This record gives sequence, structure tokens and C-alpha cells, in this order.
Amino acid sequence: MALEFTDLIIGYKDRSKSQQIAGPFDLKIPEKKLTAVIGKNGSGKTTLIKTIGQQLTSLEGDVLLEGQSLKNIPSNQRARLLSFVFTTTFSSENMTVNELVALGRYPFLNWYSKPSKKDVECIREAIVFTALEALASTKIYALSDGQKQRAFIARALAQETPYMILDEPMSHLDHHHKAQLLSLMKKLVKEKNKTIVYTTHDIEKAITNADFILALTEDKSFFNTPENLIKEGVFDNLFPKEQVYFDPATTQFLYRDSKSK
Amino acid sequence: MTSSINTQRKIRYLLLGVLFFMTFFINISFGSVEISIKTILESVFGPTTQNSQLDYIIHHYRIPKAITAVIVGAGLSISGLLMQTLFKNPLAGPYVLGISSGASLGAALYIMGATALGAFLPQWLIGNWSTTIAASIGSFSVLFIVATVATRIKNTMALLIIGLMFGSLSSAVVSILAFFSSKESLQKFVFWTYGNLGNLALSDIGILGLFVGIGSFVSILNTNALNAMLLGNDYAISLGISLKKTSLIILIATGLIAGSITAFVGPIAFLGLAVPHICRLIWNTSNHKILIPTSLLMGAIFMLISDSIAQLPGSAKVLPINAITALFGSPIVIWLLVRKKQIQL
Repeated sequence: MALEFTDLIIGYKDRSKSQQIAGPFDLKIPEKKLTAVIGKNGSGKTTLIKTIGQQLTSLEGDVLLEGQSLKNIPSNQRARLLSFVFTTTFSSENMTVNELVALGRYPFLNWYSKPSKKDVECIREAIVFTALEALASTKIYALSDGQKQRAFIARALAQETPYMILDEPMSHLDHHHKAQLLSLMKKLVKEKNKTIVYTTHDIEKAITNADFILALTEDKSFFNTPENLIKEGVFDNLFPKEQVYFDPATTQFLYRDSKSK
Repeated sequence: MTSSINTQRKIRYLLLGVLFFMTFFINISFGSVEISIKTILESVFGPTTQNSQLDYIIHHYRIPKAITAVIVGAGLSISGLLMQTLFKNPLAGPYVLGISSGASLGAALYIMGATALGAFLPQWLIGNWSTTIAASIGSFSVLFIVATVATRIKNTMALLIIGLMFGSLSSAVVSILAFFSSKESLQKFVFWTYGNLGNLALSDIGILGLFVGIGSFVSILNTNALNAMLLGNDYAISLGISLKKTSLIILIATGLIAGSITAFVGPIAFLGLAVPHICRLIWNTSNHKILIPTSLLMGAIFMLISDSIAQLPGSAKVLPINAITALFGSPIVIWLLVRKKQIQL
């Protein structure tokens, strides 16, 4: 059982026409692994995330979770399986880290119930796991970008789902916080048995850190371990070659007109 | 640190409660005849009454008016809060959906249209209507249309604009009606737009209380969902909230509250927009578990004070309540904003 795409084609549907962005995907995201989704701007990374999150409907095919079509899983049930960290979204920031993380418990609450002992424990654990104890009573608007990102991850953690989907969690972060976030995600996979999918532009870090990579290109998608994708030469064709090329020896992308060349 | 915030909040709750009772009795005491709090308490709780005339004023005029003020203030504030959260817009209020414009249109059609179209309408149709019924029909027609539209569109921003368009449409019709109507009926309509808390019979208060009560109860039932909606639509969906269903519930709750209030006491503006902000700034949170009860109470207090001021203590004149809410409230909002320098939804 896992997160599965069957002949999935994603894109935007209007009343009269539909615009295909990417697909078809036919693959199974392995459980308890860290999977990175890469591709250049407009390749469909966020569209894929929104399709999994049911904000968008797939043009064709299906997303299966534990063998069941996501469309047929009741929304409250889905919220106990999948949690998300989004990029561009409106959020009120006039709440404390504690209150934000507590919202992750929404699927477990009925209309006005007080958080149970278990809820409180989950919230605390998520805060401790993301090293936010000192900031628990701080308002979100007073946090730095890195702390904010961690707070939203803690919120997803408190949702206690086996699957976590993160849309560009590394954007706006410096090297120190990127490294911190990557090790946090790896720790979640290892210690909490989470299945994590994240999108990123930092392909080099994905190659060295992710267990699997889903690479989206204009006409095709590739899914494999980073080593195999290097062997297949997928990264060589990711960007137009006149400006950027992939160096398999250092697993780095190099610019043609940079000084090193 | 957390515990000190909690005690601070508890003190503020307590102050709010004390303030509520104080303003309630002050409101009853103020008016063309000033009645001392002692007389009020004796009249309400005492076994015998000394002054039957004051007794009559207290029981048949002042207390119903104070209760109306409480219901109206609480209802408008909570519906403003609902709209601000639903539309994620700090400028939203109970009337953004065009509900008050619908009510105005209904009232205008009744008050002014009757003279303009009088010749064409059968007498029984004009005679048996009252402004309240006309205004209710107006506001609930708009609510019905907006709710129908809401089930068809995904975007709440579009809904906000549609509500504004309805407002403009009805204002346009009202202007045309006013242009053709007689001086007397125009004046009658203008008086209706000033708002009036003192015109309600006990049975009216019962109906108003029922509608506002149902709307508030529905909001309380959705406290957790409203909090989750603060994170934006993407997160709300991911937490298992059905946006369409929840939006529709919020719309209907707001419509019941704002629609019935406008129908009974006229289009009282400002309060619904301002009170949720005042509560956010004082309690420094967006958590609906705090904002819903405080907005209810603060709204009631606000309305009681505004009405007390409107009575112009010491004179027989009464100012339009609709002007007083803004006159008294705007400086408070500005002062809080300048002091806190932080506005958050």
C-alpha cells in the first residue's frame, strides 16, 4: 500500500477546454521514503501537489492512497492520511506557534471539543521535534522564514498522517536552514516512518539526500533512485544545454559562462 | 509566560462581564426621563413598586430597548467576524453580501414605492405590509440569491464582488424610487435608515432573538472550522473541511442574523465591521474560541453605550443610532490601531 498514480494526467480544466500540464504518470511512491519532485518552473510540480491535495481534479487517471481512489475517500478520512505544507497561500499570522500547530489536530476534534490529552501530547511532540519549544508562545508574524517553515511542518506533524506532502519547503531558506530542514525530513522518515514527498528546485541537494526522485520534463517524467537517474542521463536533459549542464562526477549543475569554465 | 497571558485574559473577560452589566443598567437609566439605578433595581427585583409611571417606562420601554440593543450589537458583531474570516478580508462586515441593501430596497419599495405605484396596486397589498416584513423579504431574497450563487462558484472573492454589485443595484433602484417619491415618504424612509432600537414589541424581540440566537449557535458550532479557515483554503481543504458546505453554513448564519436585524431595527452600519477588530486588538489573537464570545459581549456593550449616548442624557431629543455607532466607535478603532501598530486578520 502506498501513494500511487495510475495513468494520471494533471492540468487545469475550464468549462470549454482543458490544459494539460504533465503526465501521464504511472508509478508508486515507495512507503517510508523521502521522494523529491524536481523540474523546471512550469513543469507541473505544484499542479501535482494540488492534485494530490484535491484542490485540483485530475484530467485523467487517478491518485490512489492505500489502494483507494483519493476522490472516494471522505475528506475527514483523507485528512488523517495526508498532511501538507504549501507555499503560496493566505494564512492569518496572528496566532502563536502553539495555536498553529494545534490546528493540525482539527480532523480529530468534533465541533467544540477541548483538545484531549492525546491532542496536547501530539502538539507538544511536534513542537519538540521541530525544535520550536522556545518559540511556542511567539506569534507567527514574529518568526523568521526558516522558523515559519518549521512551524508549518510542525502543524503537519501534529496531524499525525503517514504521508506528508511539502511544496517547495526549501524556498527562501539559507544553506543552514536548508540543511536543517533536510535532516529534519530524513529524521521524520527514519524515526517516525513517514512517507514524505517534497518539491524542490535544489536538484543537487535532492540527489544527495532523497531516496527517490520524480523528474518532470516537458514531455516525459522519470522516477527512480538518484543514482539510476544519473546513469540514465535524465539530469543532462533537464535544462536547455546551451546555458546549464550537469556534471555527473560532482553531481552538480554548472553554468556555461561561469568563471570555473 | 503562557499562564501570565491566561490570567491577563481572564481579567479582561471579567472586566468585560462587569462592563456589560454596568452599561446595561446605565442604558436603562438614560433617556428623556432619567431613572436612577436604584429605582431600576427596585422595579425589577423589588416586591412593591412606588412609582407606577416609572415602572411602566422601565418594563415596557427601557428594558425591551436595552435587550434589543444587546441582541443587535451581539448579532452584528458576530456576523461581521464570520464575514471577515470567510472572505479573509479585514474590510468585510455583515453587509458585504448586500443583505442590508436588499432590506433597504424592500423598505424603500414599501415606503416610497407605495406612493409611486400606489395607483396600480390593490389597497390590501399596500395596507397589510409593514416595513419590517418588506425589509425581511428584501434581505432574505438577496440572501437566497447569494447562497444560490455561492453553491455554483468556487471563488469567495467573486462572491464578495457579487454581494457588492447587489448592493449597488439596490441602491440604484432606491435612488430612482426616492427621486419619484413624495416628500413625506422620502422622510419616512430616511428615518428608517437611521435605525431605531425602541420600536420593537416583545414578540418582535422574541423573533429577532431567535434568529440571532440560531445564527450565533451555528457560528459556535463551527469554531474549529473557522480557525482552520484562517490558514487559507488550501490548508482548510487538507484538514478535511468541505469549503462549499462550510461557506454556505456561514453565509446562511450571517444572513439570518444581519437580515433579521436590518429588518427590525434598520441598517445599522459600522458596528459589525469594527467590533471584531477591537476584540482582535484587545485580546491580541485571531482564535475564534476567544473572538466569538468576546465579539458577542463587546458588540452588546458597544451598542448599549451608543444607544445611551444617542438618548442625549438630560434632553428629550434622540439622535439617530446609526450615526452614533460610527461617531463613538471610529476613534476607538483608530486609537487601538495606532497604539498596537499591528493589524492581523
